[in-house]
Amino acid sequence: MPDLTIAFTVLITGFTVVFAVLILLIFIIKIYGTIVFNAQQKSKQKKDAALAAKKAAEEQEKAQQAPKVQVDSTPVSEGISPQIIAVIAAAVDAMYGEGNVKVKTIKRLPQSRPVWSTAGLMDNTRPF
Amino acid sequence: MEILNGFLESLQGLYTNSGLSSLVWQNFVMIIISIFLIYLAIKKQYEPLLLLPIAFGMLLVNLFPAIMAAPETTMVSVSDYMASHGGEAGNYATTVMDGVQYYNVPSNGGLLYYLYQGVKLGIYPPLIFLGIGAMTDFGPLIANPKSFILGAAAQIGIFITFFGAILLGFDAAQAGAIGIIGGADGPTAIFVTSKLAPELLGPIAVAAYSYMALVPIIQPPIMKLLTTKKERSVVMEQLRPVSKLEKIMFPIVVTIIIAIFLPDAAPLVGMLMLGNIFKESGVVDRICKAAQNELMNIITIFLGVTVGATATGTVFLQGSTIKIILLGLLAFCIGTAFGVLFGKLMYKLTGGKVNPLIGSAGVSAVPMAARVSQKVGQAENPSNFLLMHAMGPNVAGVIGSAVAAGVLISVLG
Repeated sequence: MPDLTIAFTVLITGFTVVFAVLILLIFIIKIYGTIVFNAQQKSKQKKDAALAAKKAAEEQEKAQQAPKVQVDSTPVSEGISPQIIAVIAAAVDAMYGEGNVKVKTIKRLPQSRPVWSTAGLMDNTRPF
Repeated sequence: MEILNGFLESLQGLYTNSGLSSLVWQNFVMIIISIFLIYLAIKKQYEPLLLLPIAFGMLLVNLFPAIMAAPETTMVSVSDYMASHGGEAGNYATTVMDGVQYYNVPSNGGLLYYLYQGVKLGIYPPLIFLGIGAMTDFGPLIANPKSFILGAAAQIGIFITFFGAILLGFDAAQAGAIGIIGGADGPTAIFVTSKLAPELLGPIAVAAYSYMALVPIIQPPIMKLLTTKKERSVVMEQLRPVSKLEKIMFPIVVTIIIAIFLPDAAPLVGMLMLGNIFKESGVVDRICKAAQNELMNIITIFLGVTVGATATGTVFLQGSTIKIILLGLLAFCIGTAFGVLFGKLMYKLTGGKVNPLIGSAGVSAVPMAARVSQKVGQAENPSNFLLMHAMGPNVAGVIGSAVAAGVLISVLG
């Protein structure tokens, strides 16, 4: 009969030490992660606020100086520049139409993952 | 007639020196196995970067065992030596026995014997870890440190298999070396085996690398068996971005913790983290690239060919090899199962936010195990991307198996 004392000793020591060390790492990484993340968020917020204030001041200055310009904006493409609208319409036409396609609305959809990130993931996982 | 005799003697000499007279049947079986492994490496591309040098080392040593021979010292009587060297004295240390003076004439070992010292002395595995560290992004683990639990859970297979190996009659040190196969980490398995049971290096290395190559075949059935369709379909939230400062701090913190609490794991984890800080610091681009490419490739060649060269016929073809291969498979399966089971536990505790499939990636085998989690998850929900979530437990598994190695060396070494 083999000596089971050493077997049990290693089994219990192994479980305990591996879990203890890795749980300790969880706590330490969590703590320093939170500290660094919060500190960087704060400094980022400060920078953003300063940048926004500067931008607002510049825009106000421009508005005072420049003559009023009438900007055409259609309800279907609010917030999207005419150049982008032209590009999207051309792409749609190239894909689906032969000069007889009419783009009625262009809506910006909420995006959970950047397009390039999605493309990268697709590329990485394609072999499967 | 004299010419004919000389010719026959030459032929006899050639035969005596050739493998045909010195090789035993086990060598020929190993030659066939090594050719089959070369086929698997080239045709099936099963971990070819390692399997090809391992298989070729196996082929070489079984054809020409002297390539792995250790250096020897032969005692030659001084008078005989001088007689055969035209009366000139040799420059060797002398020993006097029964009034006769002898030279201690050293002979060199085989080529692979010298390269093997890097394995024997535990040098190559930490250097491989240096390269792995220089290529690894610990970001997913820093973003979700709970992944460490899955990396720890998947190491349970190591200790349960250790228990099984003891029951099958292996001694404690050998059982520890066999159990580490469950860590699914080749360099760690070699490191532990070279310290605890160097005589089992061949079978253990072959088993460890074979199972790593077979991850996409071994893991999915266990993952599917232990999870429901609903669990496999869970889409996890996107990980938070990790700053450069956090990534730089990670290797320093991990090194401090491991070196203080588990110094036996320090060579592996320390080199892993050194490679990682090369990468994350961004200031040593040249040496980072050297660690990732040239150094890693050179060590891979030396490691592969010399580990293969330990698998001589008489050592490899024993009943214990079959036991090791079966125990290794058991370790691997138990590790995968516990990873998934702890993933299920996290699924319950987080109210269904964690996909249990990422647990299987805790067995290391970077990045293959994470890709398997991705593949099995995507089979249920094609728009589900688990890859980055699985990379957390996957790299945690590397640290976890190094910690488990430290425990085994510390207790059994």
